[in-house]
Amino acid sequence: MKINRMKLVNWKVFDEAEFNFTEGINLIEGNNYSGKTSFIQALYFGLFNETLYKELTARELKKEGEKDAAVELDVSDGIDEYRIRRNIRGDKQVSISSHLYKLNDKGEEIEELESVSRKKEVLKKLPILLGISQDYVKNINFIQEGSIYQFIFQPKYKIEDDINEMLQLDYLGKIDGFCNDAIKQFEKDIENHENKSKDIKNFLNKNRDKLESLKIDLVEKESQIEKLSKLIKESKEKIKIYEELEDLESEREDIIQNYESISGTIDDTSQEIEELQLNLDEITKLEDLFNQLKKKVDIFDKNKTQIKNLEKENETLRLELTKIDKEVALSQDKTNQLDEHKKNWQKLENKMKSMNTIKEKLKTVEKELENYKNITEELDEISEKIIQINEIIDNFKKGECPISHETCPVASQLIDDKLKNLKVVEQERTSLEEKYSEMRSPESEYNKLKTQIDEFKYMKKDIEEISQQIVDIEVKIENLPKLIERHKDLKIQKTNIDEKLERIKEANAKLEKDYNEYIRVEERIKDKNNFINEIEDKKRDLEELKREQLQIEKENKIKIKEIEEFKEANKLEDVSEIHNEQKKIKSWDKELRNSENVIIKLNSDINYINEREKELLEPYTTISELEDTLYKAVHNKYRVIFFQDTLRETLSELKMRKLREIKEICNQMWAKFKATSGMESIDWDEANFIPYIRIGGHERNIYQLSASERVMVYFSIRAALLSKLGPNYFIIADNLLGAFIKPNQKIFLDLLKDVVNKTDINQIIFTGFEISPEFKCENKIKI
Amino acid sequence: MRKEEILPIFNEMARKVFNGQNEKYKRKRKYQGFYCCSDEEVEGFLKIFEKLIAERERVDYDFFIKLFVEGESEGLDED
Repeated sequence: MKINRMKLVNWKVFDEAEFNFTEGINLIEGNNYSGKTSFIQALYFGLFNETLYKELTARELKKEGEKDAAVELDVSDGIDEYRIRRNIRGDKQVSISSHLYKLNDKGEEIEELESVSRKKEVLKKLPILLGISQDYVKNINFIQEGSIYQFIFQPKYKIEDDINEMLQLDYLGKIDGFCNDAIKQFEKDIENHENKSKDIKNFLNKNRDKLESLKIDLVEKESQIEKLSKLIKESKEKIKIYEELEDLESEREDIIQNYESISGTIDDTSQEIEELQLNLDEITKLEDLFNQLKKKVDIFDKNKTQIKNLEKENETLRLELTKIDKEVALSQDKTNQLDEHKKNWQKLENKMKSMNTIKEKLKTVEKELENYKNITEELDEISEKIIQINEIIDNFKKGECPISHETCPVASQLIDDKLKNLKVVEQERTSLEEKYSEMRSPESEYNKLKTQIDEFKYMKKDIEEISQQIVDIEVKIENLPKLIERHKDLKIQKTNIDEKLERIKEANAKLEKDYNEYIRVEERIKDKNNFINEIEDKKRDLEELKREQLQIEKENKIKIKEIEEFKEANKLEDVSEIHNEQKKIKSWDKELRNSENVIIKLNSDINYINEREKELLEPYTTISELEDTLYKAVHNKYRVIFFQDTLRETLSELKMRKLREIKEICNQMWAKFKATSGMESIDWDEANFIPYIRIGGHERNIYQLSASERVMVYFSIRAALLSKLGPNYFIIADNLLGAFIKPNQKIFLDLLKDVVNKTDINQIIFTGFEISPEFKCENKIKI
Repeated sequence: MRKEEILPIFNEMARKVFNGQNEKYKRKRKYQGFYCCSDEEVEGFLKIFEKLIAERERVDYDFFIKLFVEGESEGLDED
């Protein structure tokens, strides 16, 4: 990377300033407080957005009293050119924005590549494009005034630090630390595995003999069990044969039992036949008795028929008697009825007589009614007249007629006549009205009488009927004495029949006992055939049973023979031998179980040992697995040790090689320097990194050199390191010549030229003051 | 420090250490199989170291152990 230009705005002492840089040496010259350090800080801030010293804040970089400040850097990577711009804004609260642009050949911004506005945010593309890392550049490419003085006083540490930094030894040292941790870890594992291995081996040593003896016992017991099992098996087979014999014997027993049961049945059947025969005999005897009884029963039956006939006759008589009784009673009723009719008839005749009187009376009333009609008509006429007269009188009274006695004596006389006439008429009317009221009652009586006459008409019919009935009844009453005669005869007849009936019933009551006996005997005789059939059946059964008995006898003989043959074939003794065999099995079984228990115990002991071994081995299943793990851990430990050793060797070798290379470069740089300063070559004490110089054939320790000489050694080593390690071949140094007196300045400036000419370093930007005017370089800037 | 520069030195040093150890443990033949590395393993260490250098940004103890114990497995490149 190369820095081409820097522009500052309101930066510390600068209002607005622009600086162009070239390849080779760029000297920034100025007096005290002219802004040389601010210049270096601007370069650093421009590249990394950070102050060179932690204690310094961005706000302090601005010019006093100014609100905003900016730094602008144009850099190139050899091919393209870029611009970095940093703006510091604000007074108390400072904000920083950063921008990265790509430039064209004329130095004009053509593209903004990245932009960030936060204070601590970085431009990510910057290290990618230019290959710069902040830490690396800060400590290697920037030589601060302080570090020069630090070297002057402690040259050993500074050089070692720089070399370590450049070789990335901090990182490799970290891996070395990992190796240590890993070795410790593996050692711990090894210890654990070894302890485990030790424990299990001790346990096995202790228990090995025991386990062996347990296993022998186990084999012994197992063979014993085998023997016993064999014996038991044999004995069981024997028992099976005996069981077969037992089956045969039991079959024979069944046959015998069957024989016995059939014999019993035969006896029972014979007895039953005998009993049946006895019953049959008894029935034969009863047959005689039955015949005797039968005769009696015949009489009994005859009597019964007679009784039935007599009772029937008796019943007919009784019915006839009852009928006659009824007829007599009816005749008496009719006689009474006749009397009643006669009375009624008399009453009706009387009434008929009074009827004629009523008829006459009715005729008179009819006449009166005629009169009445006439009177009514007359009465109506009189009433009309009265009304007329009354009207005249009223009119007169009202004065409508002004006639008075004085005015018209004739009229007045007429009126008086009329009034007199009225009184007469009124009297007449009153008398007629009285008559009329009297006449009203004959009319109602007339009606009543008419009704009575109608009733009499019906009554007449009744009289005729009753007269007829009376005639009938009188005829009937004439037959009554004959009926009474017949009644007497019948009664005598009935009494005779009753007596006869009584006698026959008595005789039959005596015969009833015999009849019952007869029924019983008859029933008994009926069973005779049943008995005969039963006896025959039983006899047949008996014969069948006897045949069966013979068959069983034969079977029994065969079975006995079979048993004998089976015994002979299997060489068996008595069946009771089976118990002895069972006893033997029992005792062997007991022995067998004991042995099995012992085996269980032995197995549990063996298992316990095995389990314990397993537990001790946990988490491994076998000892060889544990051993494998142990060996693996040991192997890993030694592998890490090997790696660590190699790493350390590598680091030490690297350092040596780098030092040798640096030494070579330094000495190349010193080719001219040697002539002017007398320093022939630089070398190192490889054990403690303390450089020494060869001057005039003598080796001189760095502590024997002056401050400016030490600075020259330091700078040349730094330049050589940078030249060797890259990748940025520029050096920016602040007040690099501060420790130099003027004659020495010249020598150092020559060295700088040699650095640019003879190494990969292509740009050196440094500040200084009171520089010898004879010093000529590519770019001199005065501030 | 460039990888290309450091790896050959590591390889060279590994040979040196291997030979030294081989010499050292020659007498203890019993352990030779375990205490010393084989030729193949020396090659393997170079791979481990190369991987460590390449993975510089994220190297930690677990990564280191994994790489070391399982370094010869195929999973190395995936990590």
